[in-house]
Amino acid sequence: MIIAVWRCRMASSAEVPSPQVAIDAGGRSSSGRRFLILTEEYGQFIAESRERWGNELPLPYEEFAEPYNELRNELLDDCRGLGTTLLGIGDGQIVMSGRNMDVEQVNTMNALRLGRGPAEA
Amino acid sequence: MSEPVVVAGLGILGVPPLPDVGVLDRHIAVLDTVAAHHRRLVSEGVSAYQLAARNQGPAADSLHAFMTSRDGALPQAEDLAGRFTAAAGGLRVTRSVIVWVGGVLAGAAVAAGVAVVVAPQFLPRLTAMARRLVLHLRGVMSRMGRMLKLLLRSPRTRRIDKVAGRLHDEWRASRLLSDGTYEPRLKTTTDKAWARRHGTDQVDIANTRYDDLPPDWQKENRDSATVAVNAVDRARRNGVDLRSPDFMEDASEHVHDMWLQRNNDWAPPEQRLKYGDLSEVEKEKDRVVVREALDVLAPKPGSNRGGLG
Repeated sequence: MIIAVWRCRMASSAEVPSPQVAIDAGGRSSSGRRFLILTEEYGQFIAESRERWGNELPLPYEEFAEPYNELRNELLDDCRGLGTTLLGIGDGQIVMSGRNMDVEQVNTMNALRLGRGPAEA
Repeated sequence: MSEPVVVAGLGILGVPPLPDVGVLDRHIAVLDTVAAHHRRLVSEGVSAYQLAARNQGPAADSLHAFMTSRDGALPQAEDLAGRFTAAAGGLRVTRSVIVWVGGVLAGAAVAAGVAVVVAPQFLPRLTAMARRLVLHLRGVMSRMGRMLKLLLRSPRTRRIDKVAGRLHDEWRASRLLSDGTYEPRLKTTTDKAWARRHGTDQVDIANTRYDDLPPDWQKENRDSATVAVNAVDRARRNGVDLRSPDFMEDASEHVHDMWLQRNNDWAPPEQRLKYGDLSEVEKEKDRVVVREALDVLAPKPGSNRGGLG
């Protein structure tokens, strides 16, 4: 569902480029939901992998085991960071989509109150 | 390695048996699976992103940056896929070396068992060879350990190191001599590991590359670089124009404030001021840090140094 496509008027300066703005709240919402599903699947997968990986060191040589262990912890931390990023994208898309729809609803109500149809607003 | 004849032979040679590679195999399998999952995540992330592709405008641009910029979700997933793959590769090489050394040691162990009975004069040579092999194996383990340490650095850490390295190079540029070396600047390091490796606790910081400095002499540039990289990342996430003079001044002020927090004890009076009250020369020292952080993120056209690859 595309809610609106319009060209923003920015200040009153002719030199300022006016960016094209298009709002597709439905697309945003689907995208957000898909990201949230990906986030959940990813979180589950990383938790399972961490379990399969275990804490057992693959070799008893400290010159290898120490950096390997450090790398394992760092990679798992980075995976957690990626999970947070994905969650942020999903949440952000859904919040944005909700705002887009709320604004459109308010615009429609205002237009109706003024006695004009939404198409004229 | 667990056959009785081999175990007995290794005992004669005074060499411990090598570890079983079963755990190593399990770790390789996990690393491969996780790497593949991250590669899949990249393509699924692109598909999810495309569902909102009809949106245009500042909000959509901001999401695009959050997805695709160097520390965005997609490059993060790609980087993780690469590091998991490289770690699995490192374990595979290690496994091959252990299997190879194990095979040679097993042969030597059997030979030792025979030598005890028929030719005891060969035992010292066999023992020396076995010990050399074990030493060689430990050397390989140490090199693999160093290789794994390289994989520790995330893209953000690599950017910070790059900025810190450039700040160090800018500082020493004024000391460059006609023979290509730098006017020496000797300092004492408190880093015991560095001192052990170099046989001295004295470091000529002007003639040492940033990467080769001991951590205590990397610290100041690293801290400043961290502040600047974080400021750039934060601003980028908030859709701030990174090339605007306002951003440059705000970020430079933050770099200065944080520097003063770290160095307030010894900072000279002309530097112990609010950013707005500093002289232009002093302000420029903070702007250089922000400029490098920006340049590493997105190199200016014509810059021969390039951004992070």
